[in-house]
Amino acid sequence: MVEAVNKIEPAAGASGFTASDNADKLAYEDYARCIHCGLCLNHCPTYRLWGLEADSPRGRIRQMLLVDQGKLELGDSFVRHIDQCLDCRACETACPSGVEYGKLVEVARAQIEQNYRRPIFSRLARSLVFRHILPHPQRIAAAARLVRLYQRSGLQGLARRSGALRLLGLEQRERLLPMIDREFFFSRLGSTFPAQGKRRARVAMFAGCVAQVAFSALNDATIRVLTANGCEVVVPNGQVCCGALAAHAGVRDVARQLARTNLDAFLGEDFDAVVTNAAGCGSTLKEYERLFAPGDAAHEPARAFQERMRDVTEFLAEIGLVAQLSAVPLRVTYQDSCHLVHGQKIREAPRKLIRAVPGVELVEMVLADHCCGSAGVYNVTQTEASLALLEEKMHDARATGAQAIVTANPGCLLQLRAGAEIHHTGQEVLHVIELLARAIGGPI
Amino acid sequence: MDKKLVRELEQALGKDAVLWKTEDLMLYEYDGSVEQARPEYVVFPRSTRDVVQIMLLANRFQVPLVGRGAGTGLSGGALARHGGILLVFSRMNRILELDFENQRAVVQPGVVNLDLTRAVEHAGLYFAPDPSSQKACTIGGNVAENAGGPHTLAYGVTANHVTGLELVLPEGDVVRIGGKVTDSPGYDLTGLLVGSEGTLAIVTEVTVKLTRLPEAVKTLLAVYDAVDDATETVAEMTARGITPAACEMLDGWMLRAVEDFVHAGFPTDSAAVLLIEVEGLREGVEAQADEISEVCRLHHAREVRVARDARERDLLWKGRKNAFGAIGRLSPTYYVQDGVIPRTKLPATLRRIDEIGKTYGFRIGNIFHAGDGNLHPIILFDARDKEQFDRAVAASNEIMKFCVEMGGALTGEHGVGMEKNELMPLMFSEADLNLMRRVRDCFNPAGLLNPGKILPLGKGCGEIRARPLPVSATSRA
Amino acid sequence: MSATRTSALTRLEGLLGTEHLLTNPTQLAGYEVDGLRPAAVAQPGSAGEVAEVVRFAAAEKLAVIPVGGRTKLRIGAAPRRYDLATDLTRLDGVLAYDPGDLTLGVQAGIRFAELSRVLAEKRQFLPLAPAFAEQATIGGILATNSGSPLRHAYGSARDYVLGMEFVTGEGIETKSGGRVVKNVTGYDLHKLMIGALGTLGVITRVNFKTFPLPHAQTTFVGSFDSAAQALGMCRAIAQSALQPRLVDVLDPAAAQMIDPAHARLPAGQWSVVVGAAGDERVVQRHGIDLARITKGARATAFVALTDEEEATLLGRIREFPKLAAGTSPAATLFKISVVLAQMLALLERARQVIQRNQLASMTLLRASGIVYLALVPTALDAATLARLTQAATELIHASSNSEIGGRPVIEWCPTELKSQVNVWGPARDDLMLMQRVKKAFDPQGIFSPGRFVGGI
Repeated sequence: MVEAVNKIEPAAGASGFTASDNADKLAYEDYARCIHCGLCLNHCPTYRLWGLEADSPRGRIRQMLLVDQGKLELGDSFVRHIDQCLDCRACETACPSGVEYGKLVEVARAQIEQNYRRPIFSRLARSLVFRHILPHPQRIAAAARLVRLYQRSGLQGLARRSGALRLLGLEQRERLLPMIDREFFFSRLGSTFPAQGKRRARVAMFAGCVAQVAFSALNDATIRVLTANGCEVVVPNGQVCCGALAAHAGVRDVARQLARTNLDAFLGEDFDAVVTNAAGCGSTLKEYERLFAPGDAAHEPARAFQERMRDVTEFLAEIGLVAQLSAVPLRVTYQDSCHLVHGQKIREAPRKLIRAVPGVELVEMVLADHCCGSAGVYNVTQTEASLALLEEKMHDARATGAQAIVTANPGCLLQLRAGAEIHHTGQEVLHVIELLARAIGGPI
Repeated sequence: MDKKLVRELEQALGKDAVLWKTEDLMLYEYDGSVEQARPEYVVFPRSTRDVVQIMLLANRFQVPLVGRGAGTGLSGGALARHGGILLVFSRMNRILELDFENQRAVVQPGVVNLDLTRAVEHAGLYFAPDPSSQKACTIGGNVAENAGGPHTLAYGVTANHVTGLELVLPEGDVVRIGGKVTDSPGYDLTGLLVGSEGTLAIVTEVTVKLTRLPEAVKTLLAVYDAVDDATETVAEMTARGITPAACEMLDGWMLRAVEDFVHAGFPTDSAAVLLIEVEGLREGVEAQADEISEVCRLHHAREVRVARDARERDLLWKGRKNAFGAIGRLSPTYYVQDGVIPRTKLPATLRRIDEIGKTYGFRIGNIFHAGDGNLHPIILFDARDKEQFDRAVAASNEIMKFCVEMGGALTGEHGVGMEKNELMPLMFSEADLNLMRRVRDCFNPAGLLNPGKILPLGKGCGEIRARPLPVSATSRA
Repeated sequence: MSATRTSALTRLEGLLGTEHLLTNPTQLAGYEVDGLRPAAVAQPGSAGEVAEVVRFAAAEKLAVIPVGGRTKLRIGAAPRRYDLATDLTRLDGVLAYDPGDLTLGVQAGIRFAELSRVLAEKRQFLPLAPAFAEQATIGGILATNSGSPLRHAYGSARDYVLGMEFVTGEGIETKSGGRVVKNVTGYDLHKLMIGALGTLGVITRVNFKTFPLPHAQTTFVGSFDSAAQALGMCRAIAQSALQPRLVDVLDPAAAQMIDPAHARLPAGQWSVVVGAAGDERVVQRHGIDLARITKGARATAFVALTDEEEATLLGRIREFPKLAAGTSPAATLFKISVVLAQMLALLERARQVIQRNQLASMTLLRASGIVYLALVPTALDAATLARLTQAATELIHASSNSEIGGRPVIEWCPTELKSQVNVWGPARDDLMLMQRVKKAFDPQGIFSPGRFVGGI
């Protein structure tokens, strides 16, 4: 399409997209796949919120194309609309033409990162989070300790009661803060957990970054569910953050660096699968290949790695549950995690696992595969939109009459828990794995 | 762009409901078709009152006014061909009333087609018109274009399901026509308005019929080794008076594109398939399915499959409904046509289309509503090459000419829009067109509502002019 | 008629031939509309001749009423002027019939009965089932939008008329729509012609979608003590999976007229007549389910008719307007379009009005949303007319108020009533649009002046 328009009508100016790495460029075919049929519109959470073409997948692709052609400035307007995208990829599910929207938007964000100067505060904050904290496990731990201090010293209660948070406009954002664990998961790195009963598979576990300080229990539960189902679980040393948050934010150089480290950590040994309990991480891990242009030394290893990559629900559904499950009398509804259902096209596996638990009644929620507004750091960067989506989600969740909302990604857990609290639905929010662990018994 | 008009629009609607910067307008110059045209203002009304205000301003400033739903149309109906204000209904999307007992719904124009069905299916009802874009397209758009879909074979097009409208006329008057009842004394203005492509009035409220969901549905897939056998099957089914709810044909080439996307189990080595659906009472569905299978076999169907469950059925339909999109996988650009022919002429017409393709050097695919003779030839070409684009348009015009010669029509469901207004003389005499102009002028005397659509622009000249090349070709052209 | 007009008529005679221009008073009497007699009747033999006749009339400023079988000339308000009748019955040909495509093109003057015979040879039919079926022409049936019991399943004419050719008020041959079953090319002007009473143009050709005759059909009758129960059955059917081709309800008086011997419609009962058609098994299924539904609705009887009984009964139901009109010179027939949920309330209001004005009545309800209500006084004297006027006024008001939301039209009544009551019911705010449309088609207003809605 780029060239098409150039041939017929010369481009107005030079392309707004320049990139240092070939993996951060788009080809004619990438855009041309979009036939602007509009079937994505009603599936896009932000289009549904605002009704603006600029905040629809079709409109965003058109904007990228126009910037690429030099017909639209890579300026505030473009950046705002691309920033406002949740990258939930619901449009990919809706798209009949197979547009890889996730790839397009990540590349567009990389272009923004390289060609647009954000306001100073935003620049510093982004740099701090994406370049200086997330890539470094020790710094994550240090930051987590600070938050833990705030949460457990009584400061949090004070801040909430005093109205200081409201004053700062942080009241609802603060609720999204994960509860920091007493004991971090980092200590498990390098350990191997034997299978119970006959060993059916040997898997490596991807432990995440923030998850290691805020979801240690979930990670432990994952190990327990896997071992109970005959899997030997190895938690390889040397693994780092998957790079998803950085990639989604357009900080692709950092994402690439993290990917290289992880490839080294996981490709050393032969595993039946690499599993993760975080759909957001899994989606990026399964697309490591996209970070490296063909010809890059990491391109082939990335492909080998992603073939082995499995979401934990996908893997368990594949091998089948063999552990003894006791009844959990609970009426639940399942909220699809975007990066599982749209990013990885996994819709049935988690539902199959939920239904396998005796006593559980699964009630489908309308628009279950629409984003809850969590979307990585979206709920922090675009709080208003995120909370509007969350409100709709909680309305739909309440309408199911379910006692618990089950989902498949830590980010979604945080958002939905905040939602249940803000909207007083009284619903428990569980990861699929937590539900299974409860049926298997033991601590969770 | 008139700053004064911007200010007045903003005063009337609020700042967040008016767009006028180039960077925003550029996103409203396309729809689902090959056409392009950029508006000068884009507005987002929330109520009929807003629409009246916009109308009055358009009138005062003498600028065109064009309605738009989701912009999924395939004939450029929702493009501001002569600039002016584009009135987008994306924020006027409330279902106003659901009257289950009388099987009616009253909706704002921006309600998405499938969302209405979702809202009523718990009561065993649905909204029958089912254009392939139904998960995104709006009911206002359906009304403007008189949209069809696969199941129009049994249930009719949008016009058959609309009983009343609220209109805003160019003078700013709000008029209700029709209602929940089916017969209103006087001229059938509702019948005229549906399909008038926004050239007569702006519709602000629609009263539609809801249809009862069938007790049973059976979906058959008949597989053929020759295209002629498939078309002969359709002709014979029609002649025998078998009326399925839908009867779609996909040629082998389209099948392969679709299968690549949906993995529905379409046999990729076949020359054509018919996707046939029968609905109704269990007993009737069984009887019809048996008879259809018999006709298919009689015409050498290699295999007649019956979808085993709802999942299989959904998959087959997913393939059909996403077919146009799936072509994006084959070719960066394509041009989809929409012509109708008598069903007895199906075999001859498909052969002719194939010939035309050969003459012009294109591979022309076919995926269409065979049951009612509504063809959708698809011409794949490379838009980077202007010569190819011109050739594609010429081939497509030749197909349209043939359809009309066969006693058919220029468009079965996509509308005339700005795609075919210059082809209208193929079907209508100057006298016919003059009367249409006069009727348009009754409603829209100053020509401010969606100018440049439906009727040919050149007056008094019956010859057919070539369609102009879009300002800048997009992925489809 | 003035001398110039007489000489003009001579020219018209030259155009059509003596035998096709009727001026003999006895012949003209048959073309009277509300007591007005035309000066002449033109019987053109082709669409071209129709156009010439209209051009002639336009030039001479003659008021023209297009007529077919002349069975429903009572419809509409009394014309303001009436000089020339244009009789279309010579245009009675089948122009194109493609049974394999289920499409048909006919001239407007073909009689329904004749056309039905042509279609039946190919085991097809049109779901029009008009009253006066033997005489009525296709053009007239469409111009008056005649009701059909089959609309329950097939919709009304607008749903299966594919296109038309017609002559405008300036004598220009024009068309819209097409011949194929699916078509959205251009404005659907032909939809405007349906029910327009010839005020926009003279229909010369109509293209239809035809339908295959069902393999089997059976008609069932459920009998009830009350209207509420009968309508309860209609609602139950609407909420079931059944797809009957007709659901008509007759009040006891209508049943008495339709089936005087009470062979199948019991005396004093409300009868619900349900027609099922399609595959044998489908018809059987309807029988089973309807039996259950009628029982639930507290029917006093439920029977399936034999083929002969069915033919007789449906024939008479189809002719309800004709039969009702024939009962009295003062017969006044309302057609009220109303949603099913409001029918019972409407019946109750109507009962009060009729009782208050000491009139007899008959009612036929179509579950698809039409109520035919016939007021049938025995004689047409001044006192009766006064009561009739009062009742008609009240009925129009009661049926069109905001609660009932109906759209009443008087389809048949003595001319005397027309000066007292607006037969088209209350004017609505779309009248202004209709007046403009009329002007576009017939700028001089030569077609049936004054007969249509709002004096059009």
